[in-house]
Amino acid sequence: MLGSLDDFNKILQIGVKESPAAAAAGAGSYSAAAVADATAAISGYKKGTGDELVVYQKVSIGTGAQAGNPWLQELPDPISKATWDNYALISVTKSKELGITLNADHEYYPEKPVLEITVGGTTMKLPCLVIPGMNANTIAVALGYGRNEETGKAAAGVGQNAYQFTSYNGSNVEYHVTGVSVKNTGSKYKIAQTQIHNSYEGRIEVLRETTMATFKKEPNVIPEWREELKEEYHNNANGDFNEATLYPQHDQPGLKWGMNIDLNSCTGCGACVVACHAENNVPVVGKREVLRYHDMHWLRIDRYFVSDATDKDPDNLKGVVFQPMLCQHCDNAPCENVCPVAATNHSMEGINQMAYNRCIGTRYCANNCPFKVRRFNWADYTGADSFKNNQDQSLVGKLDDVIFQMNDDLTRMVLNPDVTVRSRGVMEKCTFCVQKLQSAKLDAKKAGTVLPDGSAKTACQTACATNAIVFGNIHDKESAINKVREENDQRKFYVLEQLHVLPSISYLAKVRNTDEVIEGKHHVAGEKHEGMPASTKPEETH
Amino acid sequence: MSLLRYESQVRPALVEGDKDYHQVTEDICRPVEAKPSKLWWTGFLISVLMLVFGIVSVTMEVMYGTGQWNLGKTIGWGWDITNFVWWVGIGHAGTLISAILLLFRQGWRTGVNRAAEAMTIFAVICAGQFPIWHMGRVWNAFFVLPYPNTRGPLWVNFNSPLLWDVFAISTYFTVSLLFWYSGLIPDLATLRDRAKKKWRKVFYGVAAFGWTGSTKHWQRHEALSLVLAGLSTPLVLSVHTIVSFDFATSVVPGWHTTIFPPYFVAGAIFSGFAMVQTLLVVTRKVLGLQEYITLEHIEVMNKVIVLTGSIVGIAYLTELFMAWYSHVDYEWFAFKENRVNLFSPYGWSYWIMMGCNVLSPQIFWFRKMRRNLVVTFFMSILVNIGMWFERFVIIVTSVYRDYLPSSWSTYYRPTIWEVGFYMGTFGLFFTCYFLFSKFFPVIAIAEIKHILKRSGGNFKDKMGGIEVETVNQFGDKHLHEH
Repeated sequence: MLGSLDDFNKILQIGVKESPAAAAAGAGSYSAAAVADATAAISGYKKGTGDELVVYQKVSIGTGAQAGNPWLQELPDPISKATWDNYALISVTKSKELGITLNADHEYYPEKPVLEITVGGTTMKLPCLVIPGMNANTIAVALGYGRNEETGKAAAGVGQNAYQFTSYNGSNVEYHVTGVSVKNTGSKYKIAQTQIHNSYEGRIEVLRETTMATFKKEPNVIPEWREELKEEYHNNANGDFNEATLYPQHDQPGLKWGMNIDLNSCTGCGACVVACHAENNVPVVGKREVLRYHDMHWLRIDRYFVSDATDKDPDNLKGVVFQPMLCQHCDNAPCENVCPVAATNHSMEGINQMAYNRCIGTRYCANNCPFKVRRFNWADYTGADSFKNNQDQSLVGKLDDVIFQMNDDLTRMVLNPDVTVRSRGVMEKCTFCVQKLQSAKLDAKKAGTVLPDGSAKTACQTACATNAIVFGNIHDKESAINKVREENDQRKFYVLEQLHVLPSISYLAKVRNTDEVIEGKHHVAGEKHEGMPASTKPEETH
Repeated sequence: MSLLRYESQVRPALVEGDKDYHQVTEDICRPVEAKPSKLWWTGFLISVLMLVFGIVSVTMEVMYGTGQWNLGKTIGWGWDITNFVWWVGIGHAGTLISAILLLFRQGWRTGVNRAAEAMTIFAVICAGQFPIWHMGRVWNAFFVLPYPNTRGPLWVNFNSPLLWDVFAISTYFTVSLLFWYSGLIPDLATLRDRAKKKWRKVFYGVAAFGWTGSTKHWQRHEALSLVLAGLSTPLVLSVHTIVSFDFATSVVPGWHTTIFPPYFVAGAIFSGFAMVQTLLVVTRKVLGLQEYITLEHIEVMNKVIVLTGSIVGIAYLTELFMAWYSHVDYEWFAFKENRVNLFSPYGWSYWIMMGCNVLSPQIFWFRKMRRNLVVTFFMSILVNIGMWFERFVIIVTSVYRDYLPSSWSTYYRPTIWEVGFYMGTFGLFFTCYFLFSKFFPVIAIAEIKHILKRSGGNFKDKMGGIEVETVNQFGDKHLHEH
């Protein structure tokens, strides 16, 4: 059907499957009549008044068929970073029209303005999220919400049903509608987002992204910067790296696990986040707890909007960068030295590990983690606690029903028996799926071989559709992880490398495929916004 | 040799009025021996109610988890550790007064040391509640103690500043308690000897450890005081230094600062003296002890407040300057945007801190203000508010927006149980203080007697004559007495 492998690759490349018959019939021929017809058809297309409303499927919930899955309800949307809701996405321009002030309060408080959207006879009140880069007059609402009890406990009562905005034109269901009128009702509604700040503030140590043209012009910016940093450290440490830290270096005689994440490949879909939930028994906490910043994702995807601070049009978005963020398994980990009871420590394979039984929950490790990847069991999310009736709090921190759904005897059967279920008051975080690594090592031992590269895989790596995550033993010179790192030296960076925490995860910079050349030392779009938080620029959301 | 105990007339008297040894005992024991007043009962009951509220708050937190507080993945410490540092800081004035001032032979300490030391102990008890109950699994709190165990044995992490805290705070509490109690023993014996009721005889008899007032007892008592003063003196500096390490040794911008130890110690003494003022301005009035805790004492302590307040002010400006001068973007952001920027989410707290701690104490450059009780009381409250905000600013405004902008957090507001826990420690503190002021002499009787003939007002007046005498006149008058 698709022909040879070459043909298939070609189709993928150009994105269209050309019909050989059609190509033979009128390949390349210009027909003025056909163009005129097309123009007429376009101009004849009914022009609506007012705004256009687009109904779309979220990556997590889809048409609504997946609405009953708590993992997917709690998976933050790749762009909006919101959980447990649907909402109207509007542009910055539109928000100004509606009189929404995008100041610090708008960013920091979860209460978002509620819009009244009227299409024909249908009126719906939906909270809105302002997303730069939206078309000025387009409003987008996700499908699959507003389900009833029969759909399942997780889906019931979450969001509102946007199918009312779709229509049937005789042959197709139309997922967009024009002539929409929007009104700001003045009331507010809480949306649980896992990330509220949208810009990386020009912090090049956190995130490296550039354009193709810039990268071609000066491909060695990152390695040169890293070299400078190293030299500086070397000099400050009396010419001996071991002296750059007070603590002794870890001895890693055998394996040393490392990961590489290619930001160019990452689409932000969140499959890795859900895979991590499933593999590691990461609890679902429900909307109320996400609102209180108690979400438990071991692995999250940081999403940053890239736009030019000097650009007059705030909706002129240059790009979106997704950065999967998980425990960096630092070899000089700031979390390890602050734990009074040594509950978090370093394994001989370079894994920063948690001894849950030992943890007393001082939360110092989480405060001291520059990547903020540690997650604390603020309440008894798993029902694993020995305290009786400790999930019935009513005054403060009431838990959502979905937590209990995940605790019942049947649902508990989804738990991975190889992974401890954590109790309340314990810190947890990414383990590099140590149980999977262990099983791979045992398999190799049984087979009497050296651990073959690629046999130990993390859950996030397995789930990644674009192979953005590469994982392996960095002591194995032939391993894929080492190859990726070597081959991509010009894009390779470690997050916050200047802190000398020595992360085990490397990232490959995002290169946006545009011809724009970014000037300036560090090639940050719009140059460095000299520490500009949203609070000082009330008109900015990005 | 009473004649060698001469003190210049330039120095103001430390005990006013016409006092002799007996009168001193009478004055200070009166509140202990009298029936508690209505005022005392009112204050005591309010304190107990607050304590009960605190116990309920902590119970909720232990039962349902730390989620009963509004902390989150970005702000892991909030009111809990703020209150901890605040209370520990308050304790420091007591130790400074009892230990360092004893070594420096500052006579004025005798009027205030007993109450200040008691304050230290109660403040440290309150402080200790926070690191204990803020743990997610408090029932395993004993894991922080390094003792041989059957779990491996599993040892504690000596690299962790939190472990240093365990040692620092427990040592501090132990030494302070011993110091305070050993000072109390002669006075407890006095109360025992004056006791008319059976229970008082038994209670004070047991408490006085069989003190007879023999020379040998006094000699040992003095020696012990000196030893404990010597042990306490480094603690004045070390305890808050170690508390500051909780922050200084971290990597969080705004915490990772070498200036913290001296800055914290100065702040601790500053807030401690403010708390001493708050308590003593009221205590001296209610118990009628104005002749022992004189305006002189109040003024001297106000001088300490303006000095330490200014040191703290310099520290604030220095860290701000260094944040800029260091060219570390993250550090500068923490200061410029998270703190100094008044319109940032927590900007207001920084400026409350600056106003209360740096600007307002400057009023004490004026003698009239230093000796004004209303101003002193008001200022002492203001300083304590300011010092609470200092810890809040350090803790919360550093972590809520640190390295990764993706993790910047929402506003942190305490829940009712967080506020309740803090209120509860006030309840605990004042319950202890009310009991202390009822059952123990709030001024060290023995120590007042020690300075009475040198610094007591009437004795000084009598001695004033010496200053106009010639040597021969002096000799004629006094030498033949012996």
